[in-house]
Amino acid sequence: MKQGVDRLTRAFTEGRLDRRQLLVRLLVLGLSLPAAAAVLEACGGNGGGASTTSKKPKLILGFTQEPTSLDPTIDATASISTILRDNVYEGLVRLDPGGKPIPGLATRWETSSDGRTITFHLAQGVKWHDGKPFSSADVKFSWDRAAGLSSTPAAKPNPHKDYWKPVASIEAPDANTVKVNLTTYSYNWLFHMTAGSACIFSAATQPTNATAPVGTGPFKFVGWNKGSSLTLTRNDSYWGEKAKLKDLDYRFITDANGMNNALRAGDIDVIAQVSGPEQAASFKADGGYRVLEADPVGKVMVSFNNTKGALASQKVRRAIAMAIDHKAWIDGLYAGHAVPIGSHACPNAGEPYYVDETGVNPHDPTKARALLAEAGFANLTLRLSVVTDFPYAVRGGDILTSALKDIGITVKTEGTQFAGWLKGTFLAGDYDMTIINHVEERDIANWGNPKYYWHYDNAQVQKWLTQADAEVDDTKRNDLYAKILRQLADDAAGGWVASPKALFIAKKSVENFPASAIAPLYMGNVYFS
Amino acid sequence: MQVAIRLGLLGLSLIAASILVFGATNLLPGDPAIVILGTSATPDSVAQLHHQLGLDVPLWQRYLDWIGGILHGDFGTSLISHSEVGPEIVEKLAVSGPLALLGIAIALAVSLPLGILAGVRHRHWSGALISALSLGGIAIPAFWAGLLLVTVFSIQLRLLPAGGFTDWSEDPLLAIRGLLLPALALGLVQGAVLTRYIRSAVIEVQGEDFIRTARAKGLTRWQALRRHGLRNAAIPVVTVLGIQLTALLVGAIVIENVFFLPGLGRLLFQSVSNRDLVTVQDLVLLVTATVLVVNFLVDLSYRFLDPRISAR
Repeated sequence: MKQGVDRLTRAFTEGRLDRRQLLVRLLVLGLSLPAAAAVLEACGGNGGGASTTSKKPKLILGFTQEPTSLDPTIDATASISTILRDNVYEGLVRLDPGGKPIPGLATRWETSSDGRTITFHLAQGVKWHDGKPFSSADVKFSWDRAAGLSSTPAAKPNPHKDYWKPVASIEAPDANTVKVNLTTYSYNWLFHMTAGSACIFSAATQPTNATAPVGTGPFKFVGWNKGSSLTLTRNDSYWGEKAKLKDLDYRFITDANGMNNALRAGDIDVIAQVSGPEQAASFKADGGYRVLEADPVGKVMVSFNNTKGALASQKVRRAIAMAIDHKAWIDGLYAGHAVPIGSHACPNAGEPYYVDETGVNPHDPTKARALLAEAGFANLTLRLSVVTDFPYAVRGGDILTSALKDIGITVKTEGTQFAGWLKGTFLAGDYDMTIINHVEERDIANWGNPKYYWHYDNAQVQKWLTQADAEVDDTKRNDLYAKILRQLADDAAGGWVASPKALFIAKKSVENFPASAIAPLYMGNVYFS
Repeated sequence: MQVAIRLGLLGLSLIAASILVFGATNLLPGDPAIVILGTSATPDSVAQLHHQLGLDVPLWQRYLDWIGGILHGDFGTSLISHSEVGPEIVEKLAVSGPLALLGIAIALAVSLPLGILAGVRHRHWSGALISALSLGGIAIPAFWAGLLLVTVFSIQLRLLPAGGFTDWSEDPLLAIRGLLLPALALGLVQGAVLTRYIRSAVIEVQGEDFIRTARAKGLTRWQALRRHGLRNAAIPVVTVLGIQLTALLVGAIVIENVFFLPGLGRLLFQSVSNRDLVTVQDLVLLVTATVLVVNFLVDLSYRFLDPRISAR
């Protein structure tokens, strides 16, 4: 029996068996449950086990969006964090693929009873990729800079200035401790510290991180051939559990066809950003690949300019919301890979306050027409700003146009590139309606900002938002968020459509791929079987 | 003298082009600062970033700074990635240059023999067949030819990569392998166009009096064509070739996207969508300058091909 156990544990550490398969086989061998659990324990904790060796040392990932810079603290482009955070740069906390904050450079932390002081205990023996030791001074430097508290401000504004609003001061009482003082308890603050803009930098390398990142993570930066690829290699002196893969190669391929061809030809191992669900269709039936589906992330919605013309009327907004056929959108835009939403939250671990509000404004064209007549807008023409770079917005525009025609609203479509949309629609607020996916998690606080492009101004909602963020008690807080979500739906402040589930396509031999659209793609556990 | 005038005209055209390029680029809707800040942009942070990027300086001064820099060999710094644009363009040229040259080489290798043959035998079935095939080639867009080539050579036969590029310094052989399919996609389509031009030029020249005279003094059809015909047929062909070479440099945008090659086209495409004004200006000016210089060289080549022109 000893031999059998040895053989099985070897298969497990080489990655040929997963935990459950190993456990079942051990039990079949006649081991008692506690004994089997002990063997499992000895094989190493998470996933494939610490000593798993990858069959192939190098993983090649296909990305559609190339980073515009390699410094996530000065640039909001999502792929910078997706690729670099948790792999090259680390923060004190990080998100698990489900969306829960877990220890990063801080192995544990305590919150004072009033919730206003958070004490982080840092991991020991951490070194920067350039060999210099890491300490609490680096944390103080990075977070002072991000929060705008240091005497020498950041070279460029932090893309997430609002995340730092609750922070009063940051202290480093000793080399392994960081104390953060908040003006008031903030429920969302710790969550936001998992963002790329909260990464820890070394003061010495910060000025050059935009082109040559130096972090503390399990992978080191090798090179960036702009327009083509970015390469990382394993940090063999990493302080935590070392990565299983030796090399990571990110290839930037904007064309969906080119991406599919690259995977089929074996030039890449994983499509880490899938342009549309139809891209995955041909791989689903193919036994050589796995199509992975992430938890729903993002709020796809028809945004209204809440104070402009006819849209200032709640009845008109409600009529449009009721013209939205969630199922038609989900099938047409995401081939079913999405869940309907009725307010500004999606059902994933990152937004635990989610409540299903799809019942408030159900699809009902007859009622919508009646609402329009009641409001006195029988013949209405509205502008629709469509971002032509986003297929979902273009397709959604077509669906919306025909649905609104059905209830008597004429839609005038204005196409623009994302850069133009940001300027005209988002910042200048020159629009009636637009279709956009709000991808940032826990962004509900934007409804408390009347200057935000929705121009939604509801004093009650603003008050609830402040109260909810400062509320220590989970139940009370979730009650407040539930009220906000219901109010937003009642006001039809937006026409919420769906929360899409991102897809990933990987070769079958790629194991433990962290299919997540919330958290950065932490590659430490990935290996080839 | 004539050459000096032409050179002067070239210089004036370049200055006019630089003003147009600068103006058009700055008219692009969108704003690099807003792209950097994304959906977390606020009017305050945008203004702050404008100042840091030097976008709050008057347009005319920005133009002078830009053009002055270029005259000193400084192409400026990217607004988005903060790297020097000059070295980046040189790096991308190492992909796009060889791609365009390889493409034109394939186009010539295909079109010269086929075009001449089709012209000489334009009443024969073989000439008609070449003519029909070349029409088919013109009808196929380059990106589609690329997709077909990938399906056959990368996915089915697994002979060549479906895209991507290995740097020359890493492995020159792999670099050429990476350029082969895209160059074929470009070259075959351009070759089809060129075949049509060569064919009609050859047909036309065969009807000229001097060919009849050459035949009358006893040369065979091929000898007459080789000694007297081809050089005369070359002028319209060289004109088209010049246009095609510049079209290859720019038209490679689509092909570079299909094969995800890190070339000038890809860089231009990305810079436009990121509103990286400095990079866009530099690239468009470079392409414009290339077109002007190639045209200038084509003009000069007429004198070599037809001595009567310089005598005039």
